[in-house]
Amino acid sequence: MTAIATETQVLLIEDNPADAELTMDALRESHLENRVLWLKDGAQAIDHLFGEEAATHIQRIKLILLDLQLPRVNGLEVLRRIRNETQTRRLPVVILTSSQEESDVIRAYDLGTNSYLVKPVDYDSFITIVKELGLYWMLLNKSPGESK
Amino acid sequence: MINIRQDGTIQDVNEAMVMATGMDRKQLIGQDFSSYFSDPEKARMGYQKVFADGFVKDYELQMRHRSGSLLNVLFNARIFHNEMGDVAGIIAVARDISERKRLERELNNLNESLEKRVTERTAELKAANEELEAFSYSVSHDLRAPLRAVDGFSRKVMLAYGDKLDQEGLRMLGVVRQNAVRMGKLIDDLLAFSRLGRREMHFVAVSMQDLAESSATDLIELEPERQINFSCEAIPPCQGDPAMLKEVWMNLLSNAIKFTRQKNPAEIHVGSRIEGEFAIYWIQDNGAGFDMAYADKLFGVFQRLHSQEEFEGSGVGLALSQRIIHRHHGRIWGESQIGQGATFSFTLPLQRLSPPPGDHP
Repeated sequence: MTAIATETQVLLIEDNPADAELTMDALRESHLENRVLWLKDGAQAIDHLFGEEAATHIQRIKLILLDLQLPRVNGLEVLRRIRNETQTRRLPVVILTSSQEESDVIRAYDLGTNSYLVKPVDYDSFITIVKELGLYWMLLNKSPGESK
Repeated sequence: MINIRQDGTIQDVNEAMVMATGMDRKQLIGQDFSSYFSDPEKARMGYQKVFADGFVKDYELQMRHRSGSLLNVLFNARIFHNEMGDVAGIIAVARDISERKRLERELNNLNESLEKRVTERTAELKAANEELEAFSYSVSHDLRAPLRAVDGFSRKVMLAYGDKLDQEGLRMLGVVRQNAVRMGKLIDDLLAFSRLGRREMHFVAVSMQDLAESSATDLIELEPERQINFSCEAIPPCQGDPAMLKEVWMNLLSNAIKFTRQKNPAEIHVGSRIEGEFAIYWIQDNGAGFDMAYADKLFGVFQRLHSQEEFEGSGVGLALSQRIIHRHHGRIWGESQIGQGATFSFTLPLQRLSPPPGDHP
């Protein structure tokens, strides 16, 4: 069990490489950088979560950071799939997006997101938010089925 | 005018009837009267009604001219008696209403085309609104993401290569970052402004005194090193959306606090008076003031009357306040002289009015 525990992952679903890099910078500050798997669009995410070896992948995921505006399959659609499938429905999902639109917030919550964060434009605030969110969900939060 | 016997034959007609039918008087007398109407059945029914009720008033019929053309008329008719007092027939007077009929048709056509145009315009407005929503959506997302990269990567350069840059290089990178953050703020403010038009209003009784005082307290707490004398008279409550009106107080009071920065102590006073159906609320300060020549620019989006070095700001606060006050059917204006402080006033109806239709950005 310990082997699996150390390998738990943050799944980062983000199409913008600059945002992805900044997100990983921030997670580095929480010493989580080696546990991030970056998927560049919604279709890749669907493949990873519901394709071959999905069960192995899902077992390792401790947190999903999900952007909304994604090419091919958008973030809300990915969220819907995650909540509809038995094996993924309890995975913690945090929406991390530039959109402040109330309609996006409402739809994301209706589809069952665990949290919704608006990416700040300014670097320092962005780093602080992502660092704290990484620490909270990876270290403090207890998910179903965890021994501790 | 036409006299009709009890059996429905024409007893006599006048010149007008001769003209209306195009027949000779002699030809008409003795004929069944109903044959000179486009709807003989309806004509006979009117005739029977006169016998039943003793009269008819404004009974609408179409008379047929010999040439085939039709004439719209209204009949007033009553029975008449012979010397013995028995009912002898009816006497009917027709009034030509062709002109009125034509106007009615024209009005109907106009109404129909107006309705059609309203439907079309509503659809156009709806489309324009949806376009605008899509636009603000992409502004909020697509413009902010590259800005974050500008700021983030400038910061990364500072962190990773800061030791290789001299003072001037670091300063320039600092300018890049400041401007990225400022542009982010402008985008946020613009979005807030565009969202305001779409926001639903919740009208309740609002204590303007509580709003003004709590806003002032919150704002003055942010300036612990300054001496700001704030006072608020007893001001009346109004009907409105409390969240929106709070925004107005926050905007006007934070302006007052900002523009009195060079005064010690700063004086900020709130008061009101009632004029007819409206309450006029005012906020007076002893700050920098503004040139009345530019008073019309005060409430424009991104309009500023001071340089960024003098007084920072995006120029959206007053535009936002004006929009809120307009949605409440009120007015807002500012009065000042340079160096003599400024007074901003706004009116709100004391009773609730419904929000204007189509109040969209």
